[in-house]
Amino acid sequence: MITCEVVRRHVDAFVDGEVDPDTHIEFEQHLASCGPCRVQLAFCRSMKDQVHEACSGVTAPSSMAERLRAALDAEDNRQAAASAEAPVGASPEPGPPLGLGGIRLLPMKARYAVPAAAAAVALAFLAAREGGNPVLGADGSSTGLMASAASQTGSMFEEIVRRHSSEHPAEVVGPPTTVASWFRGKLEFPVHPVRFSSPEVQLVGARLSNVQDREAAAFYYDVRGRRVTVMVFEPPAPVDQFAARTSYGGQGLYYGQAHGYTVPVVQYEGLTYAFAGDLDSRALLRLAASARLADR
Amino acid sequence: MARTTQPASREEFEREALKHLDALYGAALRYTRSPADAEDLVQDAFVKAYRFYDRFEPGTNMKAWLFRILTNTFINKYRRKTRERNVLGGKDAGPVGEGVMSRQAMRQLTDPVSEAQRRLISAEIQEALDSLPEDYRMMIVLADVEELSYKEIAEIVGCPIGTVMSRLHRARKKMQKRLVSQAIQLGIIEDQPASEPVSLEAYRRTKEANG
Repeated sequence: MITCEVVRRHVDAFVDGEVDPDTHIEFEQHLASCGPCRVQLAFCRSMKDQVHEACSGVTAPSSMAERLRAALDAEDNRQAAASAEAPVGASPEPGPPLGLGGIRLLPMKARYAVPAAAAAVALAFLAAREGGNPVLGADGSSTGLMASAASQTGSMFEEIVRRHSSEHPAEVVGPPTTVASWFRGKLEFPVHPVRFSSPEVQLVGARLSNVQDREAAAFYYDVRGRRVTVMVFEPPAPVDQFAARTSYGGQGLYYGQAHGYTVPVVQYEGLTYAFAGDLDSRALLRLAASARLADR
Repeated sequence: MARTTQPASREEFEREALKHLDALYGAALRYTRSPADAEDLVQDAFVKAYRFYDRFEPGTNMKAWLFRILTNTFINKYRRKTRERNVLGGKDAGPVGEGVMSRQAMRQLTDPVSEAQRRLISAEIQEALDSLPEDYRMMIVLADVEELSYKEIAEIVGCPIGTVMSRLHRARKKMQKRLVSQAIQLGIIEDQPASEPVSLEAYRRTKEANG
């Protein structure tokens, strides 16, 4: 005969139908003669049923299936483009499926492709899916390579813009030093808030975030009452493979677009700094170009 | 070449995967607690599943496979690894209900009398579930909402069955603690914490006393 203790300890498994038939019979025998255990069992069973009743039966929004088909179409296109245009030996898959991937070092030319004006910071504006017709007068030199990685980076920019526009609350507020130390140990790469020379740009706060399954830091800034989000993460691919170039103030630049936003991207020491903000494209470009990443 | 997606497998994937759309969305909604994030999560998981569809073994459990991808995507995207991960420490052991509430309170929650009470409790349950740390929330979603087996949950979450059992147990206990205090506040059950404790200690004592 099993004891109350055994019954109580395994009441979960009993309710979940996970005890073997022999034990089941022993349970039944015990329960037949033990009131307190019956109360306990009835309660656990009822809780399971009530949780099921309260939380199941959710239906996905009617638009969801269509949205998924479109996402699969995009994936088909990406695959087709990748297998048609990817260099020999390149994998069309963006790293391991569920892991975080290691740091990918940028090719040297990405770093030195532009004048070393801003403390050797290479400014790269990634092209979004619509990158073939940029609004800012790209020099047109990069369209050929863009198609293969375009759909991937398109959704990346969409995600960055979404992270900006969803206005998730900051997890840490305070001066840059406080924010920097809060991030210590939380990400697999060291991260510091971007500094700007203009006093009009104020760091408001930051939080942990993600971009395309990669861990990211999101820094929130206030620029004369407008919000600007700077996402910092390890880039999914070498930037210059799909960058559409333009220029700002004589400086070679790159950018991407999604949902009407222009998203400048700065590469520095293997990390990507993407700028999404409620500013017009030129103001945001100027802001990105003025970012100080080197002196901390 | 890692894979080739032929039109046929696209069709097949779509047909098979969409069968589980509501379940996946429901779980995503409980995981993320936000309809917008839930949609994003489901989409990410779908695309990922499609990308690796050639690794799915035909004839095995498609739902569990999709849930594994959904759950992993959620963990990788939304986890707050330094904080919420730590809650699975040693606390909250002991049988569910044990020491949490009186036997009478248990009876009252076991069988809600009126429809109004039922609805109220239902709302409270959703809230209690949403308030759980993510690892616990996942356990309740998989075990109680989706009613998956321990074996399936172990595969989805990627841990031994024993770990599933202890996590699930702690999740339920934590959730019940919250529910009970809410139910007492709302007057659904009476507050009689000490009068009739259901604990093994007390039970043994009573038993010994009564011979």
